[in-house]
Amino acid sequence: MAAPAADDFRARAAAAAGDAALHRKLDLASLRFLDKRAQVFAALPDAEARRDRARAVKAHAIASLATLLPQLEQRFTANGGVVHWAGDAAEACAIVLDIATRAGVRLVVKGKSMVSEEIGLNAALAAADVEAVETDLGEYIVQLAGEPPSHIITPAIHLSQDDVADLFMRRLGEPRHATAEALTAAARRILRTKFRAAGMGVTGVNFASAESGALVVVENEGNGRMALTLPRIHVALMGIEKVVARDEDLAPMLELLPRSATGQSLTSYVSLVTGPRRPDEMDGPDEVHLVVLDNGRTRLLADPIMREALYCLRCGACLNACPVYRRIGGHAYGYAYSGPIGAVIAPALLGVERVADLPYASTLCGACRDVCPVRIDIPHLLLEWRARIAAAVPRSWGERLLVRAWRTIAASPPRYRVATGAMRAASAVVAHVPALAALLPPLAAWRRGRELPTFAARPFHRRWRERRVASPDGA
Amino acid sequence: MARETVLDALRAALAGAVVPPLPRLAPASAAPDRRVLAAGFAREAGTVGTIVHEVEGLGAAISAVAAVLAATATSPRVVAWPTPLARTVATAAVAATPGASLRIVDDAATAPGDVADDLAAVRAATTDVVAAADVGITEAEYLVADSGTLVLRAAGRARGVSLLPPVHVAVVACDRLVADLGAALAHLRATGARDSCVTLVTGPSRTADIEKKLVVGVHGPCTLHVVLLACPEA
Repeated sequence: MAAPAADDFRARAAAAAGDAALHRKLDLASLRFLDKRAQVFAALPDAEARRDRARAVKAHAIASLATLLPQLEQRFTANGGVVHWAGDAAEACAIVLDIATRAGVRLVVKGKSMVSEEIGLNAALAAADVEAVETDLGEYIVQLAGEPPSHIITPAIHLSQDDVADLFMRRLGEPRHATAEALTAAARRILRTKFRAAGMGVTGVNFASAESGALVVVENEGNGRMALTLPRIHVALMGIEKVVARDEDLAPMLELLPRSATGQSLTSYVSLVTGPRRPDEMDGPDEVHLVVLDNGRTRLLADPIMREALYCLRCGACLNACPVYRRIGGHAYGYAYSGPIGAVIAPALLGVERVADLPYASTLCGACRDVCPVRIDIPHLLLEWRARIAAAVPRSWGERLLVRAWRTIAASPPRYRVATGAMRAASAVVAHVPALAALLPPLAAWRRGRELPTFAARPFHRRWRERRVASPDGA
Repeated sequence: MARETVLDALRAALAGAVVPPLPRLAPASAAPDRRVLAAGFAREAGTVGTIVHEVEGLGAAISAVAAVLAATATSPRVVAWPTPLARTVATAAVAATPGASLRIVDDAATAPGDVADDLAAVRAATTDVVAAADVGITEAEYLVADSGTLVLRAAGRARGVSLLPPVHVAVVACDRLVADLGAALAHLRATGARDSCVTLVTGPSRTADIEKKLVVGVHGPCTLHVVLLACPEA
């Protein structure tokens, strides 16, 4: 995937922020996910203890990657699979292409895989004349539209049913289907032929157990099962952070991922893949390949503060919870991983100078941290990126002066009272003569999207004191 | 080589990192009464759209499956796993359904002496039969009560039977009920199962990718029946 230029974010976000139709679609999906998530967590006994346990499983695994990944490789190989290592996106694409070319594969069916978006696999396959068909309904829709996905869990969140009906007419020659059922049935019929004809299936990996070498693929539609069952070759793409130590660690992770992502107790399908089909099995692939991808993740790992971003399960709950995501959508972020967690990992995976605006795409309200199943402190990590970005840029004399003045004022209650008193007076004047605000350029820019807050007639600390005097027990 | 580069980067990144202890997992809850588990399974499976038939005895199981076959198509084509319960129930239910035809998908596809090309052709033909069927009948290894989940193995079976036909019927005896997913995975491990794939099925295939509208039956089955043979009274 072509990484975006840093400036593009502002332009895309500004355009999306004014798109009321987009907001309706984002709210429809995100708020429903959040609502269902809240319901299933309320019904889950010891939900908070389970989150702590899941975080501990990931904390152990991430700190043990240097031993767990070779162990996974050893187990997976012993089970008859083949493990490949990729340092970056180009290496990963080359590995998949090489497997396809050697087997003479012309058609690849793909289960949903964020890693494949991250590495730009479809473009790499297309360049070598290998057709790659997305088979998750949402991914299929955005592929037909020629767009990247805009949400980790529900990739076509930005398109309406009418948009999809038009797309199926234009790209597939379908009649204009009037219901989601009819559109889904059309996709089922068309993609069935692809599943049967494909020489290779590509999927992502949600979790892997180093103990048994099992790969876990979580999905609802059955397209993942098709892709890892019907073609002769199955290629699983996995970031280094997906491995956990033990089989028994899988259950606590599986309890939380669907609940956080879609509000389901469990998704319709979970496949635990341990290798190619055994001689007594009547279907399943003859070859199973696992591609283990770094692509900048070891940079996150080497950073003791940012490391916890690797605990992420890619559930998408932080996207749904984020007031900024719900106003700008996934495309504005310009990267496979959007939303709060995307704003944390993109600077590490792509280089902070290329996406320096992303850590600012947050109100730091903390909603993302509250819903994160493994309690990643996303606001803290975003602030950390901001601090690093700020530290790398020399401050202007004006800004330094302003900060020094603020420090002087805020450090002393009498000075603070005098300064706020002056501002209260000034704000009263500006409120009556709005044109005055335009005279101060930074204030004018700030006011473009905001109301200037009005000061209370009497400051809080004075009212507090009066209240204490009125009722000395402080009640 | 990329392998050494990645592993070197991992070791360098984690130099001096403290490995926190593995968490102790929740103790397995004492296995409740089977009737409690069955009720829990039926409730959870029902919420995701699985149709649960709790039946007394083999005869009732056969009748339940025959009713499903008759309701599915006028001359339903049925494929079934060769496992004992699935084979028995499928055979009797198809015999009781006028016009129904049955193919037990067994290991004929991997008969010794097949050369590789023949094997591929036989397997493709097998998948053709499974894909053309109206109903697939399987047997669950475990039923997970707290999520309404079926645990399906692959050994000696065709995975496609639970995936390709529009209707999936799983038959299972109540002694396969377990409390939660952790228990099911632990049982499976204890058996030393070496299947290439274990599949957890919780309801029919579904999507909400178009305007969050729930549509059932995307790529996998549109309808999932579980025929649960009740345990004899204790």
